[in-house]
Amino acid sequence: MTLRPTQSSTYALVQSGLRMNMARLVRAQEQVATGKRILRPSDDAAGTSISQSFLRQIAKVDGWLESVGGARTRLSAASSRLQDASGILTEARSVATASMNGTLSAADRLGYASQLEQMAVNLMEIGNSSFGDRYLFSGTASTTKPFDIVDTPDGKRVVYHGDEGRSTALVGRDVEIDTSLPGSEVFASSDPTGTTYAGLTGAKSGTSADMGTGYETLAVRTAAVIGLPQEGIVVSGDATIIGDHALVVDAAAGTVQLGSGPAVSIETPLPADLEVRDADGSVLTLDLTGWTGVGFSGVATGEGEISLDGTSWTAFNGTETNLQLTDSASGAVVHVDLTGVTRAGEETLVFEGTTNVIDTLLGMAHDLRNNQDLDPAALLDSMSLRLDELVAGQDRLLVSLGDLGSRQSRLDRADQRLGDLRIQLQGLESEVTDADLSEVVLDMSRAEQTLQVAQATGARLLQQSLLNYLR
Amino acid sequence: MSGIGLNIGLSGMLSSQKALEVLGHNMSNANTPGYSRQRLSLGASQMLLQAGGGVLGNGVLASGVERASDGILGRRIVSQTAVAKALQASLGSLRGVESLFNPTGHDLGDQIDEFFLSAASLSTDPVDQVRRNGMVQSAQHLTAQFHQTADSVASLARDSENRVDFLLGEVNALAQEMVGLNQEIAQVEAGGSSANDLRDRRELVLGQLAELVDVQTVEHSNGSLSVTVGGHLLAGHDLAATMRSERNDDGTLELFVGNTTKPVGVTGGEIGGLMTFVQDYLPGLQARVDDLAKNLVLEINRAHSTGAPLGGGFERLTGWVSLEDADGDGAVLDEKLSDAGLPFEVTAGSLFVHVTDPETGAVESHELLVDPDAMSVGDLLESLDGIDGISAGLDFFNRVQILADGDKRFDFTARLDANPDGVGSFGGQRATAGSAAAGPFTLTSGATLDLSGTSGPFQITFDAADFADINEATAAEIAAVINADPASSAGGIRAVAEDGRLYLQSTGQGASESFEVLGGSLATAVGLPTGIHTGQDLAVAVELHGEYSGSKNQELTFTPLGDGTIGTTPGLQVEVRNAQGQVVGLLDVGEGYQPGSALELGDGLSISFGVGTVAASSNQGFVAHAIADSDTADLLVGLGLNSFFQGTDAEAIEVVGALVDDPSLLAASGNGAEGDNGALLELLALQGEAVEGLGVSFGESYSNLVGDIGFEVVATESAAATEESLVDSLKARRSELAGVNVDEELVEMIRFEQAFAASARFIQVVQELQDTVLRLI
Repeated sequence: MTLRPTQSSTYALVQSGLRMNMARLVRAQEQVATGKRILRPSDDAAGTSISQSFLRQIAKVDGWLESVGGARTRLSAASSRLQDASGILTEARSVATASMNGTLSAADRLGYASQLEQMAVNLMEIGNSSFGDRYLFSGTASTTKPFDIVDTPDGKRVVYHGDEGRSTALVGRDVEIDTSLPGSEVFASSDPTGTTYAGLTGAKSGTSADMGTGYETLAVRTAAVIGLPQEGIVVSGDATIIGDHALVVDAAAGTVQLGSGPAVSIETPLPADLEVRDADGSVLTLDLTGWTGVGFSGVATGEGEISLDGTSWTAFNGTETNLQLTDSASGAVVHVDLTGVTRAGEETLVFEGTTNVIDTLLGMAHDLRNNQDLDPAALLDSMSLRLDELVAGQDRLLVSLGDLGSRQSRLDRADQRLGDLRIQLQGLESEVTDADLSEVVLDMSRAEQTLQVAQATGARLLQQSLLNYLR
Repeated sequence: MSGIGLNIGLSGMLSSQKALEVLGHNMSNANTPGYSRQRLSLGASQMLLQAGGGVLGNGVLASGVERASDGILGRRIVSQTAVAKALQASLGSLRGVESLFNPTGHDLGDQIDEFFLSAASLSTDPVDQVRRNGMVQSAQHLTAQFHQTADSVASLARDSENRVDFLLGEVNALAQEMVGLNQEIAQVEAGGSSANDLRDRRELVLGQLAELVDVQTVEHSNGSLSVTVGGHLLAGHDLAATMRSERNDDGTLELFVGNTTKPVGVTGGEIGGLMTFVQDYLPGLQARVDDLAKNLVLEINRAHSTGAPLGGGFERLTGWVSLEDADGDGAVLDEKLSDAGLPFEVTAGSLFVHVTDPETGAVESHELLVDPDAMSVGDLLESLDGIDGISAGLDFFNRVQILADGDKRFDFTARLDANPDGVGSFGGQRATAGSAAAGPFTLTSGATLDLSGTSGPFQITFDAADFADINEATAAEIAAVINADPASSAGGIRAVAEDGRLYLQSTGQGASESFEVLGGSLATAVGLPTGIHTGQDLAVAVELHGEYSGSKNQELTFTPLGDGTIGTTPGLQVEVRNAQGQVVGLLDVGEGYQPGSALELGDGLSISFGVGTVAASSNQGFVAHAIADSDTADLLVGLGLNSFFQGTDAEAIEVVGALVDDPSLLAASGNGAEGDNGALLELLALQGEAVEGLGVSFGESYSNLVGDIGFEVVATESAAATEESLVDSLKARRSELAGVNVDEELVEMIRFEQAFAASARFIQVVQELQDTVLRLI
């Protein structure tokens, strides 16, 4: 305070006082109008830094929420499709079990076959289902249709075109959730445990390991029959015998018997195509028209040929314990022990742990159509082989569903947590930057009061002059 | 007596009248800026008159008009004003900066967030074109924001500089006025009187000058005042120098006084404040924004360059970096990579290049070793060009360009080579014999290799001339010699160098193929097993699965322990060694192993072996690469290949043009699969991570920048307020001393009015006395 106030200093003082209080009022007005305490960094530099850091964190959370959202919708779509698939498989199991009843007629079997085929198609449609424009079950090859049915010599077969790639969603700092669902893991498996034969021909696994996926058909055929003609009897048609089979023609009883199979009566006139069957189901068709009428007890030996791909045939003599066969189309390699083979036929073999459920259903339908004239026992063998795989496939699907469910619940939890975090961060941010209205209003009225007082005192001060008293 | 008496009265009246005039002058100048109140100096006039021995005075004498002033206070006001004005000018400019970085919700920080959000969105569906467009667009918004910020900073600098130029004109006008005043004051004061009003005026001019620049003053005995700026005379007694600005070579503004060639440092006054802002503060700010842009380019490109676009690979790629001809010989190819003017540092390391054939899905992986101090641009292009399926060169602008041959595609991802045994050196169909270990091998000139193929035994001789250094012969060099020998092809034998190892193979495939290693010094040096090596019909299919989760690149060498058939031979094992030669795994692949089933290798990887036989006795084996970072050399970033952003500062940062034209080139995939989002996840991780070049994350860096601007404004504000209040208090003191208080003047007025009346009355008394005397006559 100056001891000697002068005209100009007095005026300046009054002016600056008014200006300062007016500025406080305006600042309060600004805060009330915007609701913000910090309108520019210098309003509260430390606060600005803190608020900025909250805003950056909110942005990060937004990014994670975006990932969670994208993954959730996709996985929930996948989940509902897989539930449908699981339902189909349950139904397929009961149909397959019903179809294995030995008393069924061929027509009934055909009916079941078409049912199973339809289910396979439905299952494949699920496998090919998409979300948006993206296939759900093709791994990271998301625009490639994952499943496709191709015709092979062994019947219809499904081919997977997707990949096994993993894609993940980043849902937190260093927290990633797997969002991939490769069809090769959901509908199939690639964990080979060994090769199983249906048991029709008596072929077994050789000593060396095998390699392949899904099902293969091992074809054994009789190339030639040795031991006939004898007494005017010749082989006239189908022969499915492999190796030595005793052939007894009993002239007295008028029967023909192959091995331990049933004795077949010889009718007159002498038949040109008498079918005799061994106990293992192998067949020998005989022409008796030139029979001399003399009975005999001999041996008919079937010379066998074997093939995995149905095109290249390998002759065998029944002593092979580790014959290597390949299917160039599928790349499968099997080693077979042929010492127990007694009959020809098409044998289903499965590389366990590598089958595709769609393949299994298609294979069942193929078996039931029975276009290879399998006898019921052989059919049953093949069907039960496939049923085991169907059960395993369904288990896998359920495991996938469970896994999917746990991923979904992880995502749900992440969503919840991130949502909470976002609200919390927003709260903290607004705490820093938002104006406390009651405080601002208080400030404002204080500034107003001071301004009024300053105006009043200023006016009084400026009126004071000696001149007022000089007459 | 009467004459004297009248004179005394008259002097009283006149001096009172003069005093009233001075008071009037004071009162009328009560509001004149810079005016110092004046006082009439009065003194008793002494006249030596002997009148009865006493000395009698001769009335009052007005000796002059004095001005209330304090020279030291005046100088302090001048220097303090310069300081306060400088801070005010800085504050004004900083407010401009602050408004640029106001958190608006659409600022640079928000744009960075937006960019990462769009990347997160794309990561949920990397195939989606709309999201790809979205990410490119948000990146363009980001670069536009960078440009705008850089432009605004530049225009702030320009505005300040223009203002400086304008103010210099004022300085020069004031300096002229100063000289004029100096001359007038000297003239007036030469007569002995004080040029009060002129001095007030000069003090005012000096104050105005001090508001613009910090001036120093020296007052001369003749009353004139020399004003200097930074030691150079601006205004003297008869000469005013001109103050001017010039731009120096690097574009910054410099100030000069008169004809001096050395710039003067001005820190005070408005000009000083503006210059400090332009020269010290803004470059620092610009550098921080540029640094943010540069690191963003570097880090985003690091993540992006090792990604793959839609379609799994590139047909062609051109870098955005033009290589420089540092030694000026007109050729770029001879420059070492470290001298080729790359915007980002290339370090010693390696780059993986994969060439894929979309038709067959076959992948060929190559590891390119990079040493920027030893490798020239030409060497690099040569080794790139040497990779099967791609060709590399420089385009017209000296940018590196890579083209795929035919329908092939290439990429630089950390993809896994699913079929690591590319040459069939591990149970392949060809008869194979391998070297005992990876090269280089120590050979002597004249070393021999005796082989026997389909056409009988033959010998190959190796000469020192065949090798760069025969003591460090590489497998590739040895293979080249063997393959060049016509006897090899005639005998159905070829040599292959793979991962540093040498393999001899039959050219035909199948169980009927065989050749014999008879011996020779090379066979011993390299460790080629002697004896007959036979092929097989079934090749062992080796497949690598999974995604490598390790943090370092790994080179895994697989060799069989013993000879046997996969899945059949009891106890057959495959040994896995890392690059350091340590055994990191033993895989049971004998009896009990199901061919084709996966064996865990750790770090997310597994391997499966198909049916077939393998032979340790033939030194069979293969190497698999597990890639964590496919470009440890940062070569792609350095050359600007497969970049997302280009440019190295806020002004130049751009989204690479090819991406804008075709967002499907956005490299989202980390392994070539279209639905993979590996590269994006890597990019997204950058959002929260502290970045090497910044020490903090991008967002934090920006937050800190904004916070620091706030702090700067607050600090300057409070400093300016402090300095200003100091000026105010100095001015108040000056006003206390020199200002006019009207009331005070009125009191004085009454005093002198009365004194005038008294003097008049005295004259009347003297006159009456005289009349009395006259009446006596």
